[in-house]
Amino acid sequence: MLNRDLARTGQDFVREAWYLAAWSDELDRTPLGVILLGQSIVLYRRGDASPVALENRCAHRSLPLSLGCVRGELIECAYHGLQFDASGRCVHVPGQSRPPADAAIRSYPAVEQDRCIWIWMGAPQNADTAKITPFPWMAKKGWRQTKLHARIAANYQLIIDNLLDLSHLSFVHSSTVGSPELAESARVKVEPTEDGVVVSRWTLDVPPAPTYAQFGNYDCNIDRWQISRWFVPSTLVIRNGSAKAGSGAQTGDGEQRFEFIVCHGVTPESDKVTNYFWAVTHDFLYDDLPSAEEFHRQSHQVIGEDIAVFKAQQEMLERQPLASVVDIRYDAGPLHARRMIDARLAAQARAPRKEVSNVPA
Amino acid sequence: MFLRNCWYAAGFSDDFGHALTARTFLGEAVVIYRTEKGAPIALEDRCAHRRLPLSMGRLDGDRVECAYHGLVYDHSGACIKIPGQTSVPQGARVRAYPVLDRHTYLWIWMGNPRLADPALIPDFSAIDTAGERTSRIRLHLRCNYLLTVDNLLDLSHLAYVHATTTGSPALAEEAVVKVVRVGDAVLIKRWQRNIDPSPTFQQFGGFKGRVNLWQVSEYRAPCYIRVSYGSCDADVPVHEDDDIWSHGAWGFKVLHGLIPETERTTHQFRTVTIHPSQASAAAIAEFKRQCDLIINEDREVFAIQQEALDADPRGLSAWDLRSTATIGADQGLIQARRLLRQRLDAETALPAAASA
Repeated sequence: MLNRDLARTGQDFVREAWYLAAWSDELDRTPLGVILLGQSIVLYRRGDASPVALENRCAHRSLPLSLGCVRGELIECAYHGLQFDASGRCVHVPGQSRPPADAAIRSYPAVEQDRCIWIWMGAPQNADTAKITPFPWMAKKGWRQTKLHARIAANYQLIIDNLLDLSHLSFVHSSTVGSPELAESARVKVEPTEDGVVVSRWTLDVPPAPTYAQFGNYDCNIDRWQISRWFVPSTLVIRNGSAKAGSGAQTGDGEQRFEFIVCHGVTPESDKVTNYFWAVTHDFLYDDLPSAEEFHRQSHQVIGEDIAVFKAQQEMLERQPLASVVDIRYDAGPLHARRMIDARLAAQARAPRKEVSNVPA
Repeated sequence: MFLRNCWYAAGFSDDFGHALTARTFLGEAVVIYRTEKGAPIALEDRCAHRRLPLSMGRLDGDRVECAYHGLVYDHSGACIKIPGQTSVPQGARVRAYPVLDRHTYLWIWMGNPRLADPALIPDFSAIDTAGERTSRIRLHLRCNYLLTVDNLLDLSHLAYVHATTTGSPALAEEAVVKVVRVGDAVLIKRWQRNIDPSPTFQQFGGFKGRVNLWQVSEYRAPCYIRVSYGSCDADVPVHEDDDIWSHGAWGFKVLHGLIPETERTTHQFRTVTIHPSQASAAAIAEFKRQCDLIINEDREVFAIQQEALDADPRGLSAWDLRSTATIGADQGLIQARRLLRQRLDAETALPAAASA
């Protein structure tokens, strides 16, 4: 039986996964405190700029290490000057010749890829970087990006619901990327994959929505695609595009092709707060900065509209968590994702809970 | 715990137009609007699909369209359209609350709609035509509604909380108080004879010497209250059986429509009508200024009381004040609470289907 509390209050998180913890440019040599899955983590860059993620708590008197500073390869606590290396081992205690043997904190595998800092929240021996969701458009030659990191008072699964049912564009974003036909006449296909789901929506031979008309330069009807690919538990890549109606976009490139790709990291801070990383990437308008900026402005308007929805939903769900809800046809994709997360969590709960092994002995 | 099968004042009628307005009543999210013809509609303020408040959506004629996926609801709360599919699943509806306009207020029934008899709306007709001498005040109070009820049923507090306006020590020290049960109402009549007028009465009544004052509070469950404040020269005899709603030489009346927002917050809609002798705009403005002062003094008391209750380690609520020290002046409100308790007990004794 599916959990009917859409806000998943009190629910655990999938731990065996890479989570987007910060945009690369949010992290420098100053320690950065972040909270992932309820765990307080300090991020910093060591000498070669590679990221380090440690438990954000000095082993001595629990001051957050994010209040401290980086010294070469080490992070130094702001209280009594204890220094920890990237494995979490305390290597220096001022005024004594040797740190206590048990002075160590947990370290988390951390990787920088595609201008994102990723943290593995599960058992470190399973941290396979091949499992990181590729966002190649974040650093691709000839591509522009606009991005956002917003801390949102809403459960992360409400955001995933939104991204796997793009019929909402017709209502939430009608002044930019939405047009009525996206909800009324889209052909929707839901294809489960091994690590997620792909929801493909094709809306054929329809007038372009305002943003599409403006930047696609259409004076004709279009065929429009919205392909959302979700990777369990919390990353998505969405391809949004259009071509001249009937020009073969479903099988080839089509004519007057216009496309942008949106990368999403939907990282739970707690069951009620999410750090949402969103980046729109595109290669059209590369040489037309004023137009690109207007396109970015419209994109940010869209994400602002969504965030208002998430907050309002969460508030309503917290008031009456168990009041019944109805599902509609377009919920097939979102419900698949919810079932998959629930299944992962059930398996995780059944598995023997091992002691966290990445604290240096 | 709230009485549900009763009409509450949701606001003044003209607070609501052909637009979606979000409110919380009795802890429930409600969206209110008027149809194109002006009929009031109140629906549960959350889409049956993914819980977005419908108040974020838009009106399409007399129908409400959800802002998220465009589900459309009619005025009965039934979902009549889901974009992209031909049928509407069973259970796709939101609750509709009976609402109607009367005596310049919009009234809402939060209980079983089948029991919503318009004849049960309290008689606030006195305010329908009072014109410029009437002012209407909308308040959001940071307290349980019972604390406000208590306040209005024990006006001895005027002597202390409102000492610079309507109060003077004699209102507490020299009052003769009579509590009478009349049908479904509790009347609390207070007289002070041959006293010095309190500042507001001195100013507007133009008295030369000592006066008789009276305050009468009428309570009906759960929270309909009207209060009459009157005065006359001390040598004019007043008797406790006299017309209790008369202003005498000078006075004013207040009708209070209350509706709990949550256990800790309350909406209050009051209509104040002042004695006909006050015709000048300047006098009315000065009287309104004093009303605002009085209201703010009460609000502060309410908020502090509620904070004290919330902070009490025993977890007290406004109901528990019954068991705290009572003073003689509490007789009226004790009877009022007894009346309310009887109504609540009767309602919880109803079969679930009838009280849902």
